Amino acid sequence: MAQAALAGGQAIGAADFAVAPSTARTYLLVPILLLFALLVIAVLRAPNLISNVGIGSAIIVSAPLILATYSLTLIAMAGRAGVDLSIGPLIGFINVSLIQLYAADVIASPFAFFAYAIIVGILYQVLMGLIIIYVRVQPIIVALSGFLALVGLNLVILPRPGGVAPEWMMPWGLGTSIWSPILVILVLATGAWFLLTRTAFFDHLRLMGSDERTAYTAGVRINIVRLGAHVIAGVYSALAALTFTSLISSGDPTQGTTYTLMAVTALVLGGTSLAGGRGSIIGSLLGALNIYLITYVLSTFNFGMVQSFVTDAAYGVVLVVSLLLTLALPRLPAAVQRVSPFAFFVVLGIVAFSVLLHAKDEIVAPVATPGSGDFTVLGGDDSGLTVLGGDDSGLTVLGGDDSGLTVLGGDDSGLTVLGGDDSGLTVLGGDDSGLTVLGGDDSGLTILGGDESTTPAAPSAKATPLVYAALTIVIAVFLIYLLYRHPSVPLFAFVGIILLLVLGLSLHDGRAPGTGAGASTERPGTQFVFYFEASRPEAPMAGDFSGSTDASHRAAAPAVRGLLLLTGTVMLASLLIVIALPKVRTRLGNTHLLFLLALGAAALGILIYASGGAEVLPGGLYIEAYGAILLGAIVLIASMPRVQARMKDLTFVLLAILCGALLIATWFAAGPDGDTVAAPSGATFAATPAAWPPPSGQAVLSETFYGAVFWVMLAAGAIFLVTLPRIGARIRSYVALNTGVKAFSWTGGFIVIAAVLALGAMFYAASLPLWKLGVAIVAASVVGRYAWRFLLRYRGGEMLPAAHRGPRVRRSAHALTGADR
Amino acid sequence: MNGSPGMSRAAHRFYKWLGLIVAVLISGAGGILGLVEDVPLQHVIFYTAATFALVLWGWHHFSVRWIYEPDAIALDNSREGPGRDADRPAAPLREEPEPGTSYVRALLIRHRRTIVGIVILLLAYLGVGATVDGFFTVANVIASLILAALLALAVTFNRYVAENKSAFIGMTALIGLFIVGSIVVDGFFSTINMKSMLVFAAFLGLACLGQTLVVLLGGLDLSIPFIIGSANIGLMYLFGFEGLPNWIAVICILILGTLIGLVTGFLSFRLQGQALIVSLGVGFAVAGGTQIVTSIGTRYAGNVHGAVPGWLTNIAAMNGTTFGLNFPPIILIWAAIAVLLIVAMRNTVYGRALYALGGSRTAARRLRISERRYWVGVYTISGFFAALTGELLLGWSGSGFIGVGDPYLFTTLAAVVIGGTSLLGGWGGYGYTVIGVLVLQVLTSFLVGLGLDYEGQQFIFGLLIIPLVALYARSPHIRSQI
Repeated sequence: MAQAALAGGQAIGAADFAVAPSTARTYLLVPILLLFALLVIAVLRAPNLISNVGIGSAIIVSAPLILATYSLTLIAMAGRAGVDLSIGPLIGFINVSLIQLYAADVIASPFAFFAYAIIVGILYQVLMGLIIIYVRVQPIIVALSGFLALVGLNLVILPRPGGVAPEWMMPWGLGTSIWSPILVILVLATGAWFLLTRTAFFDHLRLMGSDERTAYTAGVRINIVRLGAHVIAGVYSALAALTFTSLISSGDPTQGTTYTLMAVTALVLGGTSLAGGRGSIIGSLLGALNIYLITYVLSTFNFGMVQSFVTDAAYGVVLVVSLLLTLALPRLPAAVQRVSPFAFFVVLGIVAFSVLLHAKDEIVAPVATPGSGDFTVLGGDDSGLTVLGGDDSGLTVLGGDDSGLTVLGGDDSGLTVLGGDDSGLTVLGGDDSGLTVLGGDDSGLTILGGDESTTPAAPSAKATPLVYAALTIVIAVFLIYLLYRHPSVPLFAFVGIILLLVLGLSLHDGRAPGTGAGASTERPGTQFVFYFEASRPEAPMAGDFSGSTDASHRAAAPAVRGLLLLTGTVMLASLLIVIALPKVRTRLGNTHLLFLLALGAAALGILIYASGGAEVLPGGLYIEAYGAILLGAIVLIASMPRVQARMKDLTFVLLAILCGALLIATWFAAGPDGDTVAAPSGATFAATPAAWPPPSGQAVLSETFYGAVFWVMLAAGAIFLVTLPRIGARIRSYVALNTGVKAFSWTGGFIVIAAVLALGAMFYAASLPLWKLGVAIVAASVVGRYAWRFLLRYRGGEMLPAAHRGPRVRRSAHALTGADR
Repeated sequence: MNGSPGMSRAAHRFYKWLGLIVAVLISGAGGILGLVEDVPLQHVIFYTAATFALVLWGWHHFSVRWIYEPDAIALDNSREGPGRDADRPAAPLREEPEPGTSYVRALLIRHRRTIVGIVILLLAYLGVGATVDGFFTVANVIASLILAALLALAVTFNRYVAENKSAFIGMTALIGLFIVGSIVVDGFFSTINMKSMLVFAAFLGLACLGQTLVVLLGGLDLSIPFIIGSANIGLMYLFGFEGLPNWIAVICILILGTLIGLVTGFLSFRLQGQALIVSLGVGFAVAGGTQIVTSIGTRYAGNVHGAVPGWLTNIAAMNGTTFGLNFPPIILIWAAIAVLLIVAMRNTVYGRALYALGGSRTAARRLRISERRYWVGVYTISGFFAALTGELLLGWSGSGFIGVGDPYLFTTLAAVVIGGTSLLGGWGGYGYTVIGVLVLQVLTSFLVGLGLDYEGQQFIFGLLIIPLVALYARSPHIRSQI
């Protein structure tokens, strides 16, 4: 029987390889194509997808699916045809048990939530892994068994949907802004994967997945590798469960189960082989996004009561068709096979972007705003816009060229109107309205200000959206070209940061930072959040976008200052990229370069931070900007060439996780609503455990935050210093000279330093007493030793021949030689 | 309590005394129970004596056989592969004639796994008894004893069964569940319950038929539940047409189901590694499409209402009659199809070729067996039987509902797996699946009888699959695969 089974497995494997001689990257073409096709349709059907709210809710809704797919990817890569069908019920299980434990007052703080979810996820997956390894039953049967058991258990724990998520988690699931903790989780999870791919562990995983016998005979500890894959998958499923909990803000025993089929579909769409060995996170990400977009696109059509049926049918058809495309791909001529997925991505991205801009400009929508709204309305060219602002509305109107704008502002409305060229603007401001009107050339401005209205009209500001668009396209093309020609991790990291910053600037939902005239600064920033609570992001806005009020909330920083900042950012980014170019890099030397980059990032952060404090920037940006810069610095350290040369052990994954924890700590320290600048609450290290968690909307930017930032910087700096061999050697020799200790072992030394600092920062951020910190440090140093010993097993494994590893080997070889220079 | 080969004198003495003690214990327990239950004293004495004698006789009989026929056992043991821990301590035991006490220790060490298992079982049993009120009834105690005995039997004899392990385990589980069920659950062994179990088993069995064949080739068909649901509402929809004879409607749906299976087969042939997903996608598309078609022009999205013809109801409903006999024809249909299929799989060229193909594609190609034909063929059969199940379910329920197939998504897979058909293909058969279906069904009925609701059943199913499968479908260690 065993032989028959083996033969069957081989037959399947052989069939799989027979039709798939091309590389794994080729499989990305289909999801990329599908992504942009769907994106274009989505944007044409419902342009509000590309807005702060649209992207925000997209992130919130798709995050659980993406993370679940990551989890599946790892287990599928481990081979033995393992598809973890139980991922959906596992998400449901963590969800309902979290909600029930919270209801029973057992756990409440974010740390407890995260810790519980991750521990449960790891425990479950390890159990599955142990069964697969030692009972030696096929993984799919184990998964099936887990599926059935957990489905039952979930209903026992929480018979019907209900319960509430904790207070601090509520804003996470709103999806009113791109910036949300969910995004941080997603970015960290993806980044951790990329770090993971640098390790020997990952190579072992791939080898084991594609041929377990070879791996075993080659001396790979297949049991440990499989368990490792399960542990990491457990972390990802825990994160999926957390994001799912924040999405629905309650407990639901059955809804999580639906993620099984969706995630498996996303996995396959992304080109991961269910036979094992082949899989990529980019593919999984694209697959999950595709699934989201399919649902989204279909929800924009109004099918009435057959809506869900159409969704089902189209879902199935798209799935089958894309699978067949995957099949057809290797049969295409060789020329097509050489298409770089990245170039493909870029071309399609530009096409989609232009369609997007076109669609955005064509919206002609009469919009009526209720009172107290905070609106930004964007009229296209030749649009006959009529905007009726309610009382107290913070209107911002951008009229295109030749637009027959008519704006009727209510009383107390903070109107900001930007008319394009030849625009027949008619603005009727109510009483006390803080009108700001920027008319273009030849604009037939008619301004009827109400009583006491301040109307400084600034002419000839040609700030039409097209300028922004053209600028963005040019920059994007330049960046993408650079990335394509000179791919390197620091470059990617920095482009990522710049993108985040630009997005934050141009899509921020704050009111337009006009020329400061009459902006009603006393309006609480949280009002906006409450206003949009009615439109929860669970169902992506159905049909009829023109009528819904939130659809018109399109954020664009229209003012001159926004443009200035944008340009400044772009200039800085270009500078950084130029520095990062290979030629400059070799001339400068890596170390100097890195210092320069770190300094540049810090400078940018300080700039934005300072300007944010001066009430000029829209509130809420600078915290995130700072977070982004911190993240950038950490990525930078991790991606240092010297570091890369030593990246063959899992140490840096651990470091990255530590840094991620730091960032989360910072986030919590800054509070869920950190954009409100308020007087320091007088938080001191020992006296504030009661103030946890910080009530939303209140004074949160306190000493705690500064403390946390200080610790984070200290930790990053320490890691940075110790990982530099030259400095490390100098420290060693100094120690040897002064103390006489010759055999001073630094093995694991910087792990200890990093752990101490990180724990310090975390505890400081959480305002926990000092003695707990001490206990944690002692525990960490005891555990850390064994962790270190475990990690050392994966030091320096070059298991695969170069042909298997693709371009990565060449790059790391380059990094090695670069380090020698 | 199986004997060791080549039992020494000390061991013999030990077993003799052990047998006496066991006999006293069992008959004593029986006597006390009889007194507690107010059985007439004469009966108590009679039955106690009879039990004592019977146990003692049985013990003597079996121990004598074990002592004096070591060759048979040795033969059995030699079938096992090397490296098993079962026959490791056997050799030293034969050598040293030690006094009884140390033999007990050796025995304890040798059977430590079994003992640990029994202790765990006992603890679990006590734990359940402590938490659930009214657990310690005589029926429960007896049922647990029988369950434990069957478990011990299955585990003990498992290693002597060289082939058809899954069938052995399945049958043991089936018998055990039947006995325990009839003791614990009122009305478990009644005709009406038997009938309902068989009807449900027939639905599941028909749905599993295609799945079994597909799995034999190493594929998976997840479109079955969707085709079932679609056939269910589609047939109801066709019944709604004036002037269309009912039998034509039934045949139309069957043809449609077959066509869908055909399409799934063709689509997934080149994507065999991902047949799971392809069939899932086809299933989604079919279910969505059917619902769109059937709900156009009606006010009820998803549900189709109408009248089901009497003959269809008769086939599948509980109170149906077959040739005047008091059971629904679906049971007969299923039995006929099952027998036909099992015989055909063993004796026809097609059946043998299917196994050949599942076992080794290369070898099958050398034998000029068309892989494409068989792959598409099994999916087509799967589609046909899924549609048939959907139609019969309409007869059972009387109203069309798309979600009627949902439970079959994983239960078809579970039944096939519990039955023992290898998911890698080439090994198994419909006979095994029938056992799997029956085990699942009897277990469901038993759990329902115990008062467990749906979620409890799911939980227990989930927990049971791994141990059941682990008894017979463990893949060899990687060392022995090289």
